[in-house]
Amino acid sequence: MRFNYLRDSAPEALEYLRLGRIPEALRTPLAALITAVLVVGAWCAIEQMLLSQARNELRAQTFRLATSKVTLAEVRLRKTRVEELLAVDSRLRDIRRSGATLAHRLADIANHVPSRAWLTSITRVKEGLEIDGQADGLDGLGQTVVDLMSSSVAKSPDLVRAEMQDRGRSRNVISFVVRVGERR
Amino acid sequence: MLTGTILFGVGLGVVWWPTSETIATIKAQAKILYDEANQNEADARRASQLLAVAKRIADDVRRLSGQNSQSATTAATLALLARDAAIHRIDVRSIVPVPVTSASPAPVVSTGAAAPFTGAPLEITVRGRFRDVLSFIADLPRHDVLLDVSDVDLAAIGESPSRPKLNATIHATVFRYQAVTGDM
Repeated sequence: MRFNYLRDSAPEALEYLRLGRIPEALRTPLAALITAVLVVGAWCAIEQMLLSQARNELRAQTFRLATSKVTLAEVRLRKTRVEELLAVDSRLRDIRRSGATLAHRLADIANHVPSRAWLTSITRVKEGLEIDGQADGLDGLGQTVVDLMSSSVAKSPDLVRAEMQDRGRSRNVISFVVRVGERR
Repeated sequence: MLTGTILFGVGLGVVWWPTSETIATIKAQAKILYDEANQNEADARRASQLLAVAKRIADDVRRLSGQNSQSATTAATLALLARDAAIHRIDVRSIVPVPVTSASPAPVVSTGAAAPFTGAPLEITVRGRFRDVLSFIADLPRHDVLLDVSDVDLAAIGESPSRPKLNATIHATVFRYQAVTGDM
C-alpha cells in the first residue's frame, strides 16, 4: 500500500490509535493501568533479581558448608589418631615409670618399719601386700603397725599373725604377718 | 487514588509479598549455613596445630617404644639384665618366661587404646641387698627394652637382721610395640 503524507489522509489503522479516538473518560484509567503494569513489571523484575541473588547466596553457602564439613571430618580423623597416639604414649610412660613406682612403694613401706622391727618378706596378695617380719616384743610390733598406718602407699595395716620365737632368752622376738592395702 | 490503590494492591499482593517471603526464608537459611560453615572453618583452623602435636607425640612414642622384633627384644633383655645386675651389685638367679596355661594365655595382647602392645610375662629372680634390689627394679624399665615391672615378692635370706640379703622375685612383662600404620 502506498502512502503519501502530503496528499493522502491518515490510514485507518492509525486513526484507531490516535488519542483523540479514546474516549475522555477512559484515558486516565488506561494511563493508570499502563503505569501499574509498567511499575509492577519493573518491581517484579527487581524482586526476581533479588530472589536470584538470594538463591545464589544460598548455593554458595551450601557449597562452602559441604567443603567445611569435609575439612572438619579430616580434622576429626586426625584428632582421633592423635588421641590414640596419646593413649599409646601414656601407656609407654606408665611402663617406663613402673619400676620407679614399685621401688618407691617398697621403700616407703621399709621406711615405715621402726628400728625395733625388720622385714623378712613382702608378697603381693589379692587384698594388697602381705608383710612378714620380726619385731622386738609386742610393743615393737605395735609400733610397726602404727608406723605403717602413716605410710603414703600402704593403708589399713591388719595383723594376720604374731608368734613368739624361742631364739634367745634376753629378747622377746616376735615373728609377725601384717596385711596392708595399697594406696594408688 | 485509584491508580495508587491498584499499584499498591497488585504490587503487594502479587509481586512483593510472596517474593519477599521467599527471599527472607532463603536468606535465613543461607545465614544458618554461613554460621555453621564459619564454625567448622574455625574448628579446622584451631585443629591445624594438631599436626605439630601429633608429630611431637609420634617422636615421643618412637623414643619410648624400644625394640620391636622378638629376637632383638630377647637379646636386649638379657643384655639389660646383665648390665643392670653389674651396676647395682645384684645376682640374677633365674629368668623364667611364665609358661602358657589355659588360664593365662600368653603372649599378652593389650586391648583398647593400648592395642599395639604384645607382651610376654617374665619372672626374674635376683638376690641382693634391699636398696640395691630397689634401684635395680627402678632402673629396669628405663632402657631400650619395654619392660613393665608389675610387682615383686621379697624374702630375706641369711641370718643377719641388720643388713639382710634378699631374694626378690620380680614379676615383669616384656612388651613389644607394633606401630600402627601412619602414626610414625
